Amino acid sequence: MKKRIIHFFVLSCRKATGLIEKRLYFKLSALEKIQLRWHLTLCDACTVYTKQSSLLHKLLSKHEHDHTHAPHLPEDTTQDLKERIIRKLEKE
Amino acid sequence: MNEPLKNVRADANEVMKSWVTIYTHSLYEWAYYKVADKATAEDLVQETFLSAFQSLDRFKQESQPKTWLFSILNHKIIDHFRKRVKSPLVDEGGAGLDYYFDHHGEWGDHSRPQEWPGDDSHLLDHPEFRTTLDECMQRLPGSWSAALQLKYLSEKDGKEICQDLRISSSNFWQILHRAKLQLRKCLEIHWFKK
Repeated sequence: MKKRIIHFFVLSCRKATGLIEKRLYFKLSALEKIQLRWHLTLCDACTVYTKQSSLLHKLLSKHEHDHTHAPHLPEDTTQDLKERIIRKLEKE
Repeated sequence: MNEPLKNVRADANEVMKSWVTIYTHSLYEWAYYKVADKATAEDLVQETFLSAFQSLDRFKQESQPKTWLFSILNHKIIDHFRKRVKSPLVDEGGAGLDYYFDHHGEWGDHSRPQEWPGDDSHLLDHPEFRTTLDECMQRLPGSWSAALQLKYLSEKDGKEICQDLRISSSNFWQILHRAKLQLRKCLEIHWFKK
């Protein structure tokens, strides 16, 4: 019953998680901020979701940038490519 | 062409050739890891060197050629992901919001978030975690993972990304919303609750 009331007056979890994600990439409107704050004070599941979503955000920010962890390939994979690029540059 | 200019050009060519020899391999490893396609990765690396050659005068001697080349390559990769987001393949699949929420918009019993056990402060130090994260990214529909990669590889904020893509911001964060829900679920199953 408590949940139904939250959803009716504030936000559903479906919409709240949308705002939790939106907040990471865009600015929320004043109304959205209030709605989300209210929802989170009342909803444990979305509070856990917020924590996990920011963890993923932090992990992705580092991981997707870090080219040192790209899997290694055999040296000869790129032999032809090197030669092709050098020929191409000579024509420039 | 007069003599000094000719020399500059010849020098530039020599510099580029040595860079191609030294850096092609690691640039290709990164490009291939990002786009998972041999031909695309090769094109991106080749375009990187052509762009570098054309803008060699903008290269600052005090910076590392490797860093400079990687930043050019990253821009090319971002362009690639942009195209991918703009033109999703038909029927890429992926779980919709109804998979997680019931008709009241409340978490379904199977999807309600619970705390993840264990310490999560050094996850990226585990190569196995990175592998799991990559596998979960690969399981996303192509245009969803492209949207995530676009966001996290680019230095730009959401608003700028949408301007470049010429899509509305709500369109973009709704893709990210679905992508994050699915990525979270995948990591929960394959890492946190394994």
